[in-house]
Amino acid sequence: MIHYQISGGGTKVKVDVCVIGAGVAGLTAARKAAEKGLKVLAAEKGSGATIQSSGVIDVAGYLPPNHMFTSASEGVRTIAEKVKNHPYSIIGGGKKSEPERRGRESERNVRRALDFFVEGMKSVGVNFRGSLDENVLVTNFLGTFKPTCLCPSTIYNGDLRRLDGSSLVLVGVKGFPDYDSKFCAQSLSDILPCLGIKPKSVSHAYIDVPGLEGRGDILAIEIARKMDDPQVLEKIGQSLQKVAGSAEHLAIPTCGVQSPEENIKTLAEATGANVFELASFPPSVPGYRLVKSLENLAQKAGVSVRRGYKILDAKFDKNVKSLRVEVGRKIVEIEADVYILASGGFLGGGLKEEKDFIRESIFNLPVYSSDGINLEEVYLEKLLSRKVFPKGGHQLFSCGILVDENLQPLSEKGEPMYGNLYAAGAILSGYNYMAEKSGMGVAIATGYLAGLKASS
Amino acid sequence: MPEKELEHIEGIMREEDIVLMKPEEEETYKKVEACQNCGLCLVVCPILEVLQHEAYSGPRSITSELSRTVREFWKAKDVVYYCTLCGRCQEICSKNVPVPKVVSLIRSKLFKQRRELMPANFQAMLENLNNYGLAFEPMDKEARVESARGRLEMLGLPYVPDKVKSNAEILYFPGCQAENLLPEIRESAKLVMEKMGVDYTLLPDLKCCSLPSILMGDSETAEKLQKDFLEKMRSVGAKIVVTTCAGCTATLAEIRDRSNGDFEVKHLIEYILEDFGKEKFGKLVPNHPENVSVTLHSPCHLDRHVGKYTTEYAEELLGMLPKVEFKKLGEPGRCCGAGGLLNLYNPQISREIAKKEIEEIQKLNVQNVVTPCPLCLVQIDQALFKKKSKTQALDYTVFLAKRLYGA
Repeated sequence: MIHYQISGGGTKVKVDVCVIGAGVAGLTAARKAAEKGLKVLAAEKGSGATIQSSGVIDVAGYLPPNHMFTSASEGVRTIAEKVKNHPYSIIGGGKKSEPERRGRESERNVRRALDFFVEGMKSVGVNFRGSLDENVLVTNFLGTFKPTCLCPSTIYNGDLRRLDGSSLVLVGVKGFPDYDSKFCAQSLSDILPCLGIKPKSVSHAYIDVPGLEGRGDILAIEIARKMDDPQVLEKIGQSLQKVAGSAEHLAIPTCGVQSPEENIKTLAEATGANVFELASFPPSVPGYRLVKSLENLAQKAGVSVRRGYKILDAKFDKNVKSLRVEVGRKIVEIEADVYILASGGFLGGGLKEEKDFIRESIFNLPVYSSDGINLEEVYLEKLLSRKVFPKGGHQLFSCGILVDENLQPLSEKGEPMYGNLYAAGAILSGYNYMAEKSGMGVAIATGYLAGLKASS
Repeated sequence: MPEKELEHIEGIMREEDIVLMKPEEEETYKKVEACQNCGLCLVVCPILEVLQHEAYSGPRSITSELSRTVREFWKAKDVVYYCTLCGRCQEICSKNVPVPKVVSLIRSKLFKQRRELMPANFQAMLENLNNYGLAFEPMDKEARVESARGRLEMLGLPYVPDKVKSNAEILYFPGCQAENLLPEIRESAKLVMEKMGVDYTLLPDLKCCSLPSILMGDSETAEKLQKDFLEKMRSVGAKIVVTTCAGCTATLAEIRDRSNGDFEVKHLIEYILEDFGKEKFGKLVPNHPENVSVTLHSPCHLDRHVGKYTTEYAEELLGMLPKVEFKKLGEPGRCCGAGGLLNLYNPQISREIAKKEIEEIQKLNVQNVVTPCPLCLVQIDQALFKKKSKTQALDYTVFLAKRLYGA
């Protein structure tokens, strides 16, 4: 519970740590900071990128443009050694550190952070599988693939390497327009040989979800909710049996909101096959589950998670004094000893476009491109390529604020701007989550460290 | 421009299906352009939990329909009356697109330009508002007092007569439901304020806060009621309006903002915590003879349309009452399903939404669920009754009165 202090001057909330943003970076930071028994508030305006994410935890998939890492630990070390200004490099000690040392230190920090994540998720009944030592290859509704590090067990079962020498049936739902299993099968059939995977067969099928028959506009969440109904799940199991044939693997677009792991288990038992959930795109059920679990976990750890809190701006001198927050009709002041900026990128709202320039939304911190150029007077369009999918990604998406090895945002002079401000997640510059497949890893690792540093 | 000329031009516009917007309406309308079509709103929409996407295309369709096509607002007619205006979509939206405001806006345009599309089962309430300026047909004064006394007796609470005075500090605004259907709420508010010893008055001639008119799209009646309220405020001269209904709080606050009134609008819970003082109030509460376990249903109109802090206040106040064990809902923030006039438009769907909240309430096994909104109260009460639940629904103010008076 938050205690409001109401006085003539207005309404205040006093906490020890205020985290701005309740996505994966913010909630990780908040939970870590709360470990020491501090009063932590995670303030969220609505949502950002995490809730729309595919549901898997990418840590280090590629060194752009196209060197695929076989393991996230290899990836983190390589990136920390070689890529200047990358958050992995920074958490390994930054420029001051020797490359190899940086690599090891970074990997150590990432490992600790991911353990924190996995253990936390386990404690709220969500099992994430995978390891830093071996990347997993997952596929999605479109039949494309990506290397990732950790997956919910429902998706982990779909590691593409398991398909070598066995049969897969991609099962679509009739009337669910976001996923066409035929298209997915064709894509996947084209891609698998390039990955050196030779399945016996990749075929497709369609089933009806009881209660959603005859539709043409089914939403993923509707399917997921139906699957949480044991009676419906049983019928789906029977339908899957009919289309499975002798296939060892069955892919389904979603497996539930409340009880995804139990549902997968039930379907696996009913069919005798390895049933797995596909990685998703918006509106993503696994992404939604991830945020709900993270919120639940943070609240259990004593964090006050509040949606509907929109940070407007801050009062500061050498330190951040307070934040002005819009809570419905009221403007509330939040006073904390330490602040963690985990406000996200463009989707989260941490970065915004203003008159064709990129700005940091709350503190007006200087924004930089990944090669360290101050973007105060650089037009946004300069950071976009004419190609839609350029090699290495658009520069725009690797822009953000610069931080030191303590994850404190830097001023133009290269010094920490405020003594009590830390930052984590997509607000940071120096990495392109799309080209590298590193988004969640950076968010969790920097969130963990920011929470640790803020609470010490 | 002279009235006649304006009317003439508006008439032509209407024939050509051209919609005129006021500046603030235009502002709201423009905000839908921020919609990215991601569909997250559909995941949290309470109507979509019980009604298929096929029958209700949801908040996303309202925003995307309007932002991508010519402003043919009537295309949203199938969606717009299903909305309870709970605001969960706006809350989770990464751009905070104000869907509830847009829904009200579309309903007002439909009412003005395509009157035949307004649901028929709004008609009775429309007539009440036209005839009496109230959502429900009023009882005569004697019958009301008798009804109030009877209910108070059942609750073990005393009766205090109405206070009507000029230049009081507080104007207590009970709202249509407490005034006519649930007088125990109105009476309990008086009892609480008596205990607090604050200077309050009632309105002898209460009119609706205008929310039902807004929800029907009847902006003309809404404006009339709002003008009436502002005039009364001026003559009463109170510094603060205290309400006991979430809908009234949000609506009157909005009216205050738009008219730049120099008075405040607060729910009784806000008044107690912000103006009266938590500690001071705590000293008034005696050690009650009975223990009670209770949970809170926070109304959408307070939690989202006024601000999340109202839920914190409500929880804090419950938590400090002696012998009251407060248990928080496992999944708070659900809509009761009665809002937006959905309880009139489609009572079946409205009840299905309530069932989901009841499931949450029943998980806690508490004696009471309290809620600071008469509309939520009736909805939850009926749903609990249907489930033959042991948990009893009580209005928040009534609960406060009971604890204050040892009842």
